[in-house]
Amino acid sequence: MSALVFDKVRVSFGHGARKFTAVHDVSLRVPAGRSVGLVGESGSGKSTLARAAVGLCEPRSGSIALNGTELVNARGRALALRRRVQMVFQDPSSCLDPRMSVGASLVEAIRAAERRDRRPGTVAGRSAQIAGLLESVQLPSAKAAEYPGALSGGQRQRVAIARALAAEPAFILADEITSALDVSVQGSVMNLLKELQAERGFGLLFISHNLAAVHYLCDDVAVLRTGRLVEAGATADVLHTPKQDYTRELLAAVPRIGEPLFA
Amino acid sequence: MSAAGMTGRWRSALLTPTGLAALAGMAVLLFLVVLGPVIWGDISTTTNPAALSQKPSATHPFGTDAGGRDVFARTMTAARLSVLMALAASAMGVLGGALLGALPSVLPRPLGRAILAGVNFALAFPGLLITVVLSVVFGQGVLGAVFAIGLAILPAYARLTSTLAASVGGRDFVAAARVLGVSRAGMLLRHIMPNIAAPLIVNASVTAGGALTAFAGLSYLGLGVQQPEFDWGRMLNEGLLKIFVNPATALAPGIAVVVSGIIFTMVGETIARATGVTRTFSDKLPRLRPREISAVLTIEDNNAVLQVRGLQIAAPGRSRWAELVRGVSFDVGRGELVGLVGESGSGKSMTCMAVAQLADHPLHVSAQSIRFDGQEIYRGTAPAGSRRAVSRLLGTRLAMVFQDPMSSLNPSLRVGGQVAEPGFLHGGLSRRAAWHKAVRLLGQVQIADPERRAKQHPHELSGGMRQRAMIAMGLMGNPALIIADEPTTALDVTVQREVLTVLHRVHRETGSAVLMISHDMAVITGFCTRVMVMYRGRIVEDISTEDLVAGNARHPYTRALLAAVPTLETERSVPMPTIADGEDFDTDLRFDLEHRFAARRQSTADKDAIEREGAHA
Repeated sequence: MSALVFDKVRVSFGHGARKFTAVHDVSLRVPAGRSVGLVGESGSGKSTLARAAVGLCEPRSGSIALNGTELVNARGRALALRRRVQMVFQDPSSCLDPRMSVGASLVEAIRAAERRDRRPGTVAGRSAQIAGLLESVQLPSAKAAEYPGALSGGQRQRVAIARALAAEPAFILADEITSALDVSVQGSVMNLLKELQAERGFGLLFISHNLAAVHYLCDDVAVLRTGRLVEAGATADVLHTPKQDYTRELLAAVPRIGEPLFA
Repeated sequence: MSAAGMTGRWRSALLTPTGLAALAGMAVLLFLVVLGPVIWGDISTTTNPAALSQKPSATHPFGTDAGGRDVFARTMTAARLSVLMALAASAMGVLGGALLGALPSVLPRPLGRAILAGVNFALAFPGLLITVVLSVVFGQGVLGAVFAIGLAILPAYARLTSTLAASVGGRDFVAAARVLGVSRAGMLLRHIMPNIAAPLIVNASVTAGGALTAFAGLSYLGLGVQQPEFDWGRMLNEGLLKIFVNPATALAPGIAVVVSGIIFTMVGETIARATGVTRTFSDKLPRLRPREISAVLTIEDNNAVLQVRGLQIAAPGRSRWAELVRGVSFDVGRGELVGLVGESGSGKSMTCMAVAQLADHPLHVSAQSIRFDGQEIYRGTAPAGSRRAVSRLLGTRLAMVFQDPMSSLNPSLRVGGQVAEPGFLHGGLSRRAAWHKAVRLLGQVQIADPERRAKQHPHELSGGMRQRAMIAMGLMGNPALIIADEPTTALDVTVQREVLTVLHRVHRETGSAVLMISHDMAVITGFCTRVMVMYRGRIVEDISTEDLVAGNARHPYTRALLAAVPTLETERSVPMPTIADGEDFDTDLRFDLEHRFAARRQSTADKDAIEREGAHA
């Protein structure tokens, strides 16, 4: 069974006295077709771990492998394989190039995938693909002509997801993709991710500090604290019967609707 | 933005005085460059031994030079060479600099660093020095001067480009393109260059103006254009020798240099407006009609700490006002904990900014009345009473806590001094006494070792500590109301708890009311006793937390909002309830003031009745 496997990954920045280790020997497995939640507070290393998997930063040690192929410093075929791991970012205001129409952004992604797979593409084929991608993220195909400035935050995140889908990913790393959205829009993005996953079978690493969102979306959960893995397991176990004090602390701090914070 | 929007922006940028002047100026320059030498070329080189160094006259408006040639004709003829040289040198500096500056963002890191180091090294020398040295190296004459000035412009432009490119290079869409496997060239041409082009072009036109002056300077030093050719600088050089005898000969090329420089700058300004580098809005918008509120409000709770009536806020667009807050009215009672929820853009933050009188030009703020702490502070479209008195009242009795404490605290000042500021500004304390009070308050908001923390700068504090320092700043006065705008949104849950605890303690100990703005229903229902829901600039629901949680919300939007919040108990097998994009809820004032206030009076009366019964029992 294919999986994205992080093995004792360590990422640090700077040298000597100013060296800062963001991720401390974290091991984590994201099986194909499943969704794994990665929770923790800001600075816990959640994003850094994901960025290492797609080559946006380099681990000092450890390995990140997809179906047994090493992705760190990937070249040639391994690099082509790494492009099957795609990332969607948090900030809807900067996830799309403001000077590129939605269609142009998608074409860029489609062409990158064509280059990767060494297959020629046609203009007609690409525009059909754009329509298909927009449809799969539940946007009307007319949006292809629009610029990000004319879209809402939720729509921009949908386009960003469509762009990731253009690479026909085996794994999607979603970095806080609902955090900057209004509550009413968060739900629809989560529903979309669930549907797409059921349809296309990609593995999902859902990074979030929102425990309720992780609970809703993920099969497994891993808890990070200051770069170290605290606890990992099935969602129901970790979030309902946590073994570690830190996880309990996190859960206790989550405000719940209708529960007065102060008696 | 669409193509039509682009043309619209260009049109409105060109139709300003600056735009029209730039257009006319460019037309004149173009005319001179193309036709100047054709029309005046012969006259400008015709020497006349009979009329050497003449003063201005009807036949020679700017007199004649030492060779008896007409200065006006020479100035017109010199336009071609002067302008073209300036453009050529700018093009060289700008294009070369842009290329050199953008490369580091796509090249492997060591190579990029080497390029930047070279650029920084070149920048360490004064531009004039580089120009003079290079022009000596390249030799005198037109080509030498163009190369000298073009290369002297280059480093500064490379630096500007690399700074702009670095800011674009760090954005998510560039990272996404890298993850997709977009080539380096593609990254540069499709993502980086288009996003920095506008400021670069604006700067380029200013650079062209600068180059024009630089050529004049170079020719004036005798290093640039050589006889028999002449540009404005050469003419200045010759004219200045006789400035006391015949000032007009130096004046004509001088005016030409200044006017063309101004034209280039105005062109730059026009491009900036058209491309959105400089934000503009029309100042000729139609008058806005104030929102009416119903007349029943003669019965008012005059003891409320905050009373807002008919608040309307609008932002100027290109052709019309965008109404952000559409006639909002509400009360906050003394010591009450009120929540204001709604999506981004619903107007909730705007409302509070207007209350604090922080909604400035170009926003249009009008209200029938805003009363705070028993005093009217806003009426119509202006603050009521003396500005000084209002600002003093707000400074001492109103505290604000914002979402991002990093941007609401000045990064270059010590925390203690900033917390103390309201104390000596409004509180009549000495700086020393204010500092001591600030330290005490920092301790009161649970900041450990307040003495040491007060002496630190904001970046040395954690996010939660900065937010508590903001609360402490509010406590310097004696706040009757604390407006907290998304105070915990940027914080982790555990830190969120700490900040809310401090806020609640302050409320309990000082009796101040809190108006909390948030999109987090859980925080709002956990903290507040009453919740107002804003939707598209209107308050559509005003309900006690108890009723809200019990499912008694009346407006469908409130119910939808509440259902959309995921909890740790949300059933995973069914889709999340959502509010569809563009779904329209009724914003009519079905729940207008009359209803809302009547309902509140009713519920208060009920409560009183229950309490009375309880007392009897």
